[in-house]
Amino acid sequence: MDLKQDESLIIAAQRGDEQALGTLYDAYVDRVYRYVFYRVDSAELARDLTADVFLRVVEGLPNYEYRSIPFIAWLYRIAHARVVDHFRQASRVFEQEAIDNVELSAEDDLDSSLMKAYHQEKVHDAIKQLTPEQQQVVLLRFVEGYNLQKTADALGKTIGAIKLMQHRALRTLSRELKNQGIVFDQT
Amino acid sequence: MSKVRQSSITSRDEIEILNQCLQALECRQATIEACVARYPGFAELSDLLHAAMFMQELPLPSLAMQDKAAIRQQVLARYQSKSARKTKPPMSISRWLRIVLVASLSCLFLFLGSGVVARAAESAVPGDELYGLKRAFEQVPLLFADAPERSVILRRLAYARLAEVSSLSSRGIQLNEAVLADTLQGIDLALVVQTDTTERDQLVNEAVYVLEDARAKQVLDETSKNQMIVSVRIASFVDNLAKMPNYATDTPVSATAGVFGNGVLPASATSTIAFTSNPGAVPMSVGTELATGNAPATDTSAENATEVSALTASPTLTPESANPVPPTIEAAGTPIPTIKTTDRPSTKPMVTPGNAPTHKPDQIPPRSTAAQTAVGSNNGNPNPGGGNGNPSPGGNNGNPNPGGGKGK
Repeated sequence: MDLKQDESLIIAAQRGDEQALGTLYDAYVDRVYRYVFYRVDSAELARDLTADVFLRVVEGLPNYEYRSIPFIAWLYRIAHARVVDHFRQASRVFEQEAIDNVELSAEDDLDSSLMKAYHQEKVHDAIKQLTPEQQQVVLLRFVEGYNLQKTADALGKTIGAIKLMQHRALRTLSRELKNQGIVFDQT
Repeated sequence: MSKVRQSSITSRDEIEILNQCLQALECRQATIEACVARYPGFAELSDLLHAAMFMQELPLPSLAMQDKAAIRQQVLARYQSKSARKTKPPMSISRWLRIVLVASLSCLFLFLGSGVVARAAESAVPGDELYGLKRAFEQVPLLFADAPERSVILRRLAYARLAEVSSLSSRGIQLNEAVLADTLQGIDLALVVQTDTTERDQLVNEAVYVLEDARAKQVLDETSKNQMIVSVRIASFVDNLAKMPNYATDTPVSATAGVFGNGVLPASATSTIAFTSNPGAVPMSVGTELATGNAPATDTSAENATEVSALTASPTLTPESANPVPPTIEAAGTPIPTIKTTDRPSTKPMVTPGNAPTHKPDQIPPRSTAAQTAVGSNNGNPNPGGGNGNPSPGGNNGNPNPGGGKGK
């Protein structure tokens, strides 16, 4: 979905077009979920926080001005605030999602799925060692696939700042993943 | 790809090298190995690029379809409820201002309108369309008045009633029973609550003057029982007023002498009603009781006499005599009803034409000297201006005649 489409959908939603809001939700819900997922301890919590993010979007939509900030950036800001609130308010009880609870689809190879789940868990732990800004950059750049400019726009940073954070984040991430026992295939 | 030595690579270069390699990997223009081979002096590059690729290759977590649908439903429900709340848009400031303005103007118009009507009603007299409104407005202050204020208001209302009587009589409009009763009741009520003797005396003086004047000016229909009754009532009331404590103290009341002396009504007619000798007593319900008598429809002299007797000898009054004899109208043939009464003992000297020589019978005492006339009637000349036998010389319109009447 390009920026033009975003803008027209947002304007329609602000005017009461329920379908426009539904389209926006469908377009961004997974991204918000992933953003939250890598920063919290459970998929269930990520789902609840994702729902909370969109409910807040509904509340704030009438006052949202598209030109001041891209829609996805606004979503990430809300998501970030919700995650921070969560860690601030809740006394955290880690609910590590057991590997047995990983849902496997019919096409997935069992070993591959288990390995992916295992890796995901390790990545999860490694990401937690990053600063919030580094987390955001890593998620946007390498999970969401944003380029530097888009990441900078989403986070309201300069490209130079994103490059610096990217470098530091990958350094920390690499170290943490090694500490977790992840061995990169050095050929 | 040329190799770059480590010694020449700064941290700033590392950031740029990492970024270029990442972009090359994303565009599939290079491999991790190629990048590492190009920058042998950048030892960390391999780990950094592998970490980045590891992250990229991770399966993208996504919400389960049912969760996604559930959240969607929840979000849209919130959106709908919010839209429903917005259906009634909050009133803008201008709308509030409009409402306040309209309300203010309405209040203003009501206030001004009622003020204008009240002002117009002020001059209304009995029989006018606005008179009822005037009386209604008059009652409003009484609702909120305490005792001292009530006294002042009732006095003011009594004066208003007297002014109406004066106005009516000056226009030659006959006083009917209802108007008279109302007037007498107003005076009575005011006198009851007056504690200031000066004010009370002034009111009595005014009442005496106006009622006598009105009585004298009545275009009496000689055959009208109503007029007879009115006349008798005025005479009785005035007489009783004159006998009030603090008004006529120890002197014979001569205030009514002019009336009674002019042949309209013998002073003795009023003597049948006397107040208690209690000096503190006030003539409670004098006017009221007098006014409440209902005159029968017949028009015979005997009946008139009976009615007048009954009216003037109201049981609510306290006769000084143990056996009060009610007055009777002697003859129907006389132009003006006269009341014959039986003499009876009284604590106050009875006013008779004979014992009130100092006040010319045909002269209304000047208003300014009314109190003197009443209180100090034994000064020998309460009304030096003399008179012509007409109680209302010059046809005044309710104003006193300070200079006395014209000589005939």
